Amino acid sequence: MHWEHELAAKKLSAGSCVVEMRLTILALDTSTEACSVACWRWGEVLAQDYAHLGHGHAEALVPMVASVMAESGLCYGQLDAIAVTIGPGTFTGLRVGLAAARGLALASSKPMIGVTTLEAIAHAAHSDERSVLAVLDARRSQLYAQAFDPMLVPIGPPSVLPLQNIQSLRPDGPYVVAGTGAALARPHLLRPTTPEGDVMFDRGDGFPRAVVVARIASAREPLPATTIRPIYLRAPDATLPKIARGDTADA
Amino acid sequence: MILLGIETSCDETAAAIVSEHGIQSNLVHSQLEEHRPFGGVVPEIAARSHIEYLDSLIKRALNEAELNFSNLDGIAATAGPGLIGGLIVGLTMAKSIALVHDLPLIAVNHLEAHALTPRITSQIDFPYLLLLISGGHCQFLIVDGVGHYRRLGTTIDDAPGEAFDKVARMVGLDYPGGPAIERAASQGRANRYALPRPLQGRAGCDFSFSGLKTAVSRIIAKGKVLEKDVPDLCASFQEAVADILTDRLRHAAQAFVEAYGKGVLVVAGGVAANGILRERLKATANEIGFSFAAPPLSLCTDNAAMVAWAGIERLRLNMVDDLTAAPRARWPLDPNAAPAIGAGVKA
Repeated sequence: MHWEHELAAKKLSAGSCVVEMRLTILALDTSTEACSVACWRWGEVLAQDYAHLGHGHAEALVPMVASVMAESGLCYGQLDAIAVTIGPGTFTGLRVGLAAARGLALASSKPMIGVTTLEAIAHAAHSDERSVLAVLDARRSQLYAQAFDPMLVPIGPPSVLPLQNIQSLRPDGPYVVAGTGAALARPHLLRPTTPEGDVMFDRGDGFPRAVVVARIASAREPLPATTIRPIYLRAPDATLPKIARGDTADA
Repeated sequence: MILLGIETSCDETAAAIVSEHGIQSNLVHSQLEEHRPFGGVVPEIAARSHIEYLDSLIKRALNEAELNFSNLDGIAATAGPGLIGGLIVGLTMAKSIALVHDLPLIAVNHLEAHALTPRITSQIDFPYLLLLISGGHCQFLIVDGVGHYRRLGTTIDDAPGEAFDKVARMVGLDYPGGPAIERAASQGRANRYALPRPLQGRAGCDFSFSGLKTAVSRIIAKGKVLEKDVPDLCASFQEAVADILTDRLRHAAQAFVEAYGKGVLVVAGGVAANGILRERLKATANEIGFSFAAPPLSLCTDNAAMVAWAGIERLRLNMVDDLTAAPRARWPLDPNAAPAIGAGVKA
């Protein structure tokens, strides 16, 4: 991972404020229980759909793309890029989104833009004067989390950490907590010593949305599709076997 | 009719272009090296690998066939049975391509793809008797036509490919076990170790391999199997598998004869790549008046050409799927067959 490099690039683009908003983008998100698709052109939403699915993204996503594209009145050739949330999130959800997005990109010869799930949450919750701590429920009493300064520049890379360690990512100064892990993080962030008004909790439902992914992507450089990879933050569950000659077999 | 086929149900990422006249390109990206340290397929590692390579592989398959998407008549992808993480990747990507190019989508049953494979290269008419043997399955079916299968028998515990892998691991051979055991066995004596032939002589044509596997592990546990004995043990094991398959074949053939008279035995699936098993099955088939067909070795193990071909067979009959098609970890070819106890998804 070249996080320092990417971080520097993001600071540069945020600082220089040369923001190209003229892209036409199809954005997908299936990184959580939610599923959404948005079609965005020249700074406005042409069509969008959102469903809180729980499961069944593999069945629902492509038909949702079909209906959003039909409603937008655009054809695939008019798109400048396919945007997708690359994680962190549920492993299966990320792959549904990535498989659909890379398939769309391949089929329409378009480049892609990857947006992290935590960026999508931070941008949705952002208010000018506060930093954002974006948190996603990672199960197993853990959170996927990342902090952003008031300019929405990431303070560090996305990480996975135990609930009780979330304090370590707390931004300096007043901040807002957003994302599906906000309720889980709350008792660990609200301490008797916490200054009044220092921490606020976002009122939204905490789920990422393709509309926000599209908005973020419209200010970014599209890249070749094969460079857009999921960010899992966790290794696959697998243990090396004891391979020893004469080992009795597992029945 | 030209189709793109996609296969991602286990540990091979594969893409192929197939027309009614034959295979135009057939690419497989094997994940063998990624799984080898674990001695078997790790589902999450497999799923991560599929998403990494599938789109580039599709592009290469098209390039090798000197075609682009606009030349295609449809897209076929394995939708099951198999590891759900991989199925999701392949089927979802197939759907998005089908959507952009407004092509019919065919959600293919991986077992049906194996079952129809010999028809890519040979003129084999329905109905025929099929023995499907692989790492995940072991069953006799009557193939009445595309989409019409009657299961005659299945494994009640392990699949033969699984047994090969586990025995290979016990004797210290590399994963995958099938080719490793076949190689070792070629230097060994098959009559050296007395191993059981579970269900031999019993009515019906179900299979069992678990007792055979346990018998091998008992011999090893006694501590008398040295490096020099491994070829003999492998040969004895392989011989036992061949005896089980040929014994069951006699029963399955009898059931086929009662319905249709003598016909063709088709053997398909990864284990059908084993030369000794092929020979023994062919000899028994011929002995009982059946002709024998098996796909070329390269089409026995998982590949996407067979998926594209199954897509062609289905598309000819207008058997197409819509974009809501669901990946299925379990998907028996014969939905009316009772599940076999202990066989899990292998039924």
